[in-house]
Amino acid sequence: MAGFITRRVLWMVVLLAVISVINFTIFSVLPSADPVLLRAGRSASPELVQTITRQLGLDKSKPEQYLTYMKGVVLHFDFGYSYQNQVGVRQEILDRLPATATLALGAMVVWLLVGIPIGIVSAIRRGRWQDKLAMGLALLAISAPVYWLGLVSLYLFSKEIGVIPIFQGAGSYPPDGSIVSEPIAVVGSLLLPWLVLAASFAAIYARFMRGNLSEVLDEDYIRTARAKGLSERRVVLRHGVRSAITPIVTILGLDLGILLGGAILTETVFNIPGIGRLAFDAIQKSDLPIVQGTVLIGAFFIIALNLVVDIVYAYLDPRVRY
Amino acid sequence: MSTGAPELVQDVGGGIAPGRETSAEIAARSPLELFWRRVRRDRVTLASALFILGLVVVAVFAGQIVDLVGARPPNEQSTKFLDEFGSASGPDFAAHSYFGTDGLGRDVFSRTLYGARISLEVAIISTFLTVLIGVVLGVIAGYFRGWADTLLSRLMDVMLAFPVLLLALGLGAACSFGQGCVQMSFANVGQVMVVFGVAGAFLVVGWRLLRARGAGDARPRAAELAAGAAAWLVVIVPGLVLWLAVGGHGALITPGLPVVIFVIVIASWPYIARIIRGQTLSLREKEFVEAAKALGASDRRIMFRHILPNLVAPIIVYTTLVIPTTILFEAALSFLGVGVQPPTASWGAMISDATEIFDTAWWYMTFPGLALVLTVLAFNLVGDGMQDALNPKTRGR
Repeated sequence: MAGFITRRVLWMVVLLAVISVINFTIFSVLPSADPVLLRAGRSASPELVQTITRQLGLDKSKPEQYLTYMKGVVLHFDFGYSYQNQVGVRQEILDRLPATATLALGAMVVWLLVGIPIGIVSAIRRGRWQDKLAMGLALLAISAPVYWLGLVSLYLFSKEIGVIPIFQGAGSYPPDGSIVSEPIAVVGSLLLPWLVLAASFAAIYARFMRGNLSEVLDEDYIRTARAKGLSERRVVLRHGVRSAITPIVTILGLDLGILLGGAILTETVFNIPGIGRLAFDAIQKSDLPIVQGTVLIGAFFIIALNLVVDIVYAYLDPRVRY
Repeated sequence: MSTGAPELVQDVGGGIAPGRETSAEIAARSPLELFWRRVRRDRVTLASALFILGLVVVAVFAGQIVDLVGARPPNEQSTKFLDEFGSASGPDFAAHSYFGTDGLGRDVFSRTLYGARISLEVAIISTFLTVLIGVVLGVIAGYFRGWADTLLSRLMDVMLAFPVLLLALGLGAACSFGQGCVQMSFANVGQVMVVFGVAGAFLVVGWRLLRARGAGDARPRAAELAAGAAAWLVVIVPGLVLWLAVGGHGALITPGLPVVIFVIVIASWPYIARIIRGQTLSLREKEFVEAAKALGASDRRIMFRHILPNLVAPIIVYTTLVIPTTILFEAALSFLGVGVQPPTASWGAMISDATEIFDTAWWYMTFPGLALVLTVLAFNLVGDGMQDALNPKTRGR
C-alpha cells in the first residue's frame, strides 16, 4: 500500500510538471501580443519598456523563463504578477478560493442528498411511474445548461426582480466576506447557486446510482439475502446500496476536482467572486499570468483529487491491485 | 445467435402464438433488424429522432423559413423594432416578430433558427472527429497493450487533467489579443505541438519507471512501439512541419468555429478512447481473435476487421451521447465569448447577450435557451434509446 501511494504521488508530480510545460507554452509562446506593452500601456517610453522587460525576465530565453516561473511556483507558491494591477497572482487566487470552495462543496452536499435517494428509489421502482418521472426529470436537468438555468431561476426567484422573490439575487455575495466571517450573508447568497449548480449533478448521480443498484440487485447474493428472510429494507440498504455506492466515489472525486478549479459558468451568472470568475475577468482583460495561474491550480485540484480517489478506492475495494 | 432464440420467440409473440417451427426462421434476423424492432416500439426515442430530423430541416432551410413567415434576416439591425425607450421589444405577431427582438433590434426568431445551424455544424464535425480519434487510439491501446497502451493512456491522463473550460477560454483569449483579434503564426502553433509531444514522451518514460514491473511486457514488440509512437507522431510531425516549413508565413488564426471544434475534440476524445480501450482489452482475449491469429491475420486486420465490428454497439451509443455534450460545449464557449464570433447567431452567444437585459427582456433568454435544452434533450433521449436497444442486458425488460 505504501509503495502504491508513493508511486501515485510521484506520478502526480510528473503529470503536473508536464502540464506546467504545456501551460507555459500555450500562454507565453502562443500570444503574439507583447506582454510588456500589456503591462506598460500603449504609449510607454522606451526606458519604461526596457525596465519592465527586465523586471518580467523577458530578455531571457523561453526555457530560462519557464525555469524561473516554476522555481517561483514550487518554492514560494508564487505565480508572478498580474498585468493589470500590482497584486500577485497568488494573493488573487487565495482570495478567491474560499468562495469557489464554498460553492462547490455546498453544491456537492445538495446533489448527494438529492441524487442518491432518487437513484435508489428509481432502482427499486424500476419501470414504474416513480422511476419514469424521476429519470425524465433527470434527463431534463442534464440537458439544461447551468448558465441558462441560473438566468431563468434568477428571473423567477431572485429578491430584486423575481416573480416569486424568495432567494438572494446575483451579486449578493459579500465582497470581502467568506463563509467564516459572514456565514449568514454567504449562505443566503449561495442558496440559489447551490441548487442550480447541483441540479445537473444530482441528475447524473441519480442515473448512475439507479444503474449501479439495478445491476447489483440482480446479483446472486441479493437473492441469497432475500432467501434467508432479511427485510427488503435491509437487503436494499445494507447489501445493495453498500456495494452500488462505491463507484460513486470515483466520479465524485473527479467532479469535485473540476469544480474546485472554478465553476466558471455558475460564478459568471451569479457574479460570485471565485476562481472561475477571476479567470473569466482576466481573460477579458488579457491578463495572462492570472489565466496561467488558474489553469495550473485547476489542474492541481483535478490531479490531487484523482489521487485521493485512487487511494480511497483501493481502500474500499480490496480487489484493486496495487 | 442461439442464446438469443428464446427471447426472439417472446418478441414475436405479441398475441399470435408462434409455432415452434417458425423459430428457426426468426432466429435468422440480422442484428440490424432486431435493433430496428426494438427502436420502433420505443415511442419516446422515435419522437426525439423525429424532432432532430425536423431540426436538421430547419437548420438547412433556415433562410427559406424566415422568408416564408415574414420574419427579418438574422443580422438585420433596426431601431424601428425597438420599443419607445430604445430597448428590446417583446414578441409581436402582427409585426412578424414572433420571439421579440434583442437590444439591437435584431429578430430573435430568425436568430434562433440560424443558431440551429451552428449547433448542428459543430455537433456533427466535432463528434465525427472525436469518435474517429477516440476509437482508433482506443483500439490500438487496448489491442497492443504494453508500450503502446502506456503511451496512449498517459496521453489521455494529461488531457483529462486539464481544466478544459479554462483552457478553452485561455486558447480563445490567446488568439484574440491586444487590439482586437491579432495573428498567431503557424510557427507558434507548431512550437506548441512539438513541446507538447516531447513533454508527453518524457511523461511516458516517467510512468514506465514508476510502474511496478508487470509480467510479460518487459520486452516491447516492434509493432507495439510503432503503433504507440505513430500516435505521438500525429502530434509532433505536423507541429514540426508547421514550425519549420510554413512558419515564416504568419497566418491568421482567429477565434471562431475551427478553434471551437479543435478545443472540443481535444477535450472529448480521451473519454471515448478509454471506453473503447477497455472493450478492446476484453475482446482481444476472445477465441475469434485467437482464431484469426492462427490463420495468420495481420495485427491491423485483426484490429479493424475482427475487433472493430464488435465495437459497433458501444460506438453508436457513445456517439449519440457525445453529440449533446458537444452542443452544450459549443454553447458554453460562445456564452463565455470565445466561441462563435458576432454577429453570427449562436444559442450560447444569444444567452450571453440576454444576460445583460434578462430582467426586462424575458423573451431573449427564453427562446434560444429552450431551443438549446430541447435539442440536447432530444439527443440524450435518442442516446438512451440506443443504449436500451443495443444493450443485451436490458433486452426483454
